[in-house]
Amino acid sequence: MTDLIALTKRNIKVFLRDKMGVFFSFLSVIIMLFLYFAFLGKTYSASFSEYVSDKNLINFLSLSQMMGGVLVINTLSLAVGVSGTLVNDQNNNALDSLLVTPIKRYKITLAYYLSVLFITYVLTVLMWLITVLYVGFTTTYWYSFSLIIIIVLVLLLFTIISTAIMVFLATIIKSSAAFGALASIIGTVIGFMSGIYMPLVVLGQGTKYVASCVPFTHMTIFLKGLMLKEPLSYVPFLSGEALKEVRDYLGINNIGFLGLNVPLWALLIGCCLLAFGLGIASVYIMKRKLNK
Amino acid sequence: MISLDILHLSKRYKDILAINDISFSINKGDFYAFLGPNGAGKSTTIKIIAKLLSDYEGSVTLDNNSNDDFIRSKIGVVFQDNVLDGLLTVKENLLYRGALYIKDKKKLIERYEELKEYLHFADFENQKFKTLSGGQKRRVEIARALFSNPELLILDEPTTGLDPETRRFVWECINDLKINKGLTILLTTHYMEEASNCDVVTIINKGQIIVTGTPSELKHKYSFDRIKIVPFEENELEKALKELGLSFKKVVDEYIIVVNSTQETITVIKQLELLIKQFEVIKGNMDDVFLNVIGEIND
Ligand SMILES: Nc1ncnc2c1ncn2[C@@H]1O[C@H](COP(=O)(O)OP(=O)(O)O)[C@@H](O)[C@H]1O
Ligand SMILES: [Mg+2]
Repeated sequence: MTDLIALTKRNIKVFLRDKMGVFFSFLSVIIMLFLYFAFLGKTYSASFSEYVSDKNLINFLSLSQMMGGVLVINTLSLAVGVSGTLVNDQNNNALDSLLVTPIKRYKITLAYYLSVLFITYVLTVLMWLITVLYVGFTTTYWYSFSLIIIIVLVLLLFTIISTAIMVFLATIIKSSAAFGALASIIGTVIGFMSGIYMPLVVLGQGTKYVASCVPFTHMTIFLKGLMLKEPLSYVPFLSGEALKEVRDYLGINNIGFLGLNVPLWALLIGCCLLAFGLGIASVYIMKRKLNK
Repeated sequence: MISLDILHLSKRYKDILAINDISFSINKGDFYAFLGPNGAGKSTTIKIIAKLLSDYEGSVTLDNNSNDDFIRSKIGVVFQDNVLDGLLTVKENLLYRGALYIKDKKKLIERYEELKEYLHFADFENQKFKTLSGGQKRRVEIARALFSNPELLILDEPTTGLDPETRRFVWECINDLKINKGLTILLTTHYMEEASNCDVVTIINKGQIIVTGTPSELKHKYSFDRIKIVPFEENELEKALKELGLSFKKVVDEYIIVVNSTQETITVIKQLELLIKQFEVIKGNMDDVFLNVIGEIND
C-alpha cells in the first residue's frame, strides 16, 4: 500500500506543480464562464423573462443550466490534464525508472487511475459546492440538501467515466505534444459538440446526431435536468407544450441515440459500459507496455 | 556473494538485431565496463539485465536466481538521462521513489538521511529538481539508484554530456561505492579513458562482444608504445632510422616511432643516443585498443 500511495501522491503533485498544465485544464471552463458572463447569460435571461418576472429566479435558472455543462466539462478536461503525466512518463523514461523497482506492475497502472480520479473528483466537487454557495448568495435560491448530495454522487460516476475515457486516450497517444494539444482543446470541442456552449436545438439535426454519439452529451442532459428541476418548479403556469419547449431550449430533453428513441437511463448505462470497456482495454494496453 | 551471469543473450527489434548472442559474467566486487560506440547495444543489454525488456533470448541470472522481483530488489540503475521529476523537490523525489523499496516510514527517512549525508545534497534538498546544476542532478539520480541499498549498481553512460568537473565527481563517487561499500558495478561508456579505470573491460560492437580483459591485458595486446624524438639533425636521424629498418611518422619537428615493448624502446634510444635532442615515450592507451579492435572488425 505504501508504494501505491507514494506513487499516487507523486502523480498528483507532478500535475499540480505544473501551473500552465493546470491552467490549460481549466481553460475550457474559463472560456465557458467568460462567454456566460459576457453575453450568453443575458441571452438566457432575456428568453426566461417571457415566463418569469422574478430576476433572482431568472438567474437561478440560467446559472443552473450553465453550471450543469461546466461541471461535465470540468470532469473531462481535468481528467485529460492529469492523464498527461502517463504520456510524459513514457516519453522521458520516468516509467522505466519506476519499472526497475520491485513495485507490482498493476500498482503502477492503478496509481495513474487513482491520481486522475482523485484530482478530478476533488476539484469538481469543490466547483459544485462553490456553485451552490454562489447561486444561494446571489439569487437567494438554495438547492435542496438532498440534491446537493445526489449531485456529489452523480459527479463521482461522471468522474469515473471521464477518467476511463481519458486514461484510455493517454495509453494510445504516444507523443506528449499531441496529447498536450488534445488536452487543451478537448474541453472546448466537447463543449460545442455536446451542446454545452449553446443548446443543441440551435445547432440543427446533423449536430444532434453527432452529439448523440458523445457520452458527455447524455451526461450533460442528465446533470442539467437534475439541476434545473428545482428552479423550474418555481416557474408558475409552466406545463405541457410550453414546458417541453423550455426544456428543449435548456437542453435537458433526451435526444436519444442517432435519432433512435432510447431512454436516458439506458444511454447512461451505455456510457458506463463504454467506460468499463475502455477501462479494460487500457489496463490491457498498459500491461503490454509494462512487460514489453 | 553476488554474481551476474549472462548467457547467450540476443535481442531483436523488428529487423534490427541489437544484441547478437552475448555471454559474460561479473563477479562480486568487480568494476565492469561495457565499452562500445553508439548503437553497439549497450543500453539494450542494460535494459534486459534491469528487467525492462522481456522479449529476448538467453538468460540473465543474479546469484543463480532469475526471478524478476529478486533481481529488481538487488540492483540499482542510473539511466543515461535524468528521470526524476523536475517540478518536485529533491526530497520529494527521493522519498516517493524510496517508498517503492522501503515500506516502513521511519526506515525510509533514515535511508534518505544516510544518502543525503553520503552524497552531500543537504544544501539543495528542498530545491526543485529542474533548478539544479547538471552535477547536482546526477548526484540525486545516483541517490535514487542507491535507495534500495543495491548489491549491483548499473550505470548507463553516467558521464556522457557532462562537464569535466561533474564527470570527475561522478567517477569519484563510483570508485568510492566500489571501494568503501563493496558494490559490484557495471557501467557503459563510450569514453575510452574511463574504461581504463575499471577492473574488467568488454568491448562491444554491433551487438557482439569483441574482446574482454583487464585494461592492462587489453593494452598489452592491442596497443603500442611510441617514442617521440626531436633530433639535432633531421637528415642524420632519418638516415639512421632507415639503416635500423625502423619505420616512422614525422609530425612537424617530431619523429614518431612505434615500438612493441619496453625492451625495444631502450634498445632504440641507445642506438640513436647521439642524435637525440629530446625524447618522450608515450604509453599505449585504450584509444589504441578501441581503434585496433573495432578497426579490425570493420576491415
Ligand atoms: N526501441 C527500439 N526500437 C528499435 N530499435 C532500437 C530500439 N532501441 C534500440 N534500438 C536499436 O538497437 C541498436 C542498439 O541500440 P542501443 O542498445 O541503444 O545502443 P547503445 O546504447 O550502445 O548506443 C541500435 O541499432 C538501435 O538503433
Ligand atoms: Mg545507449
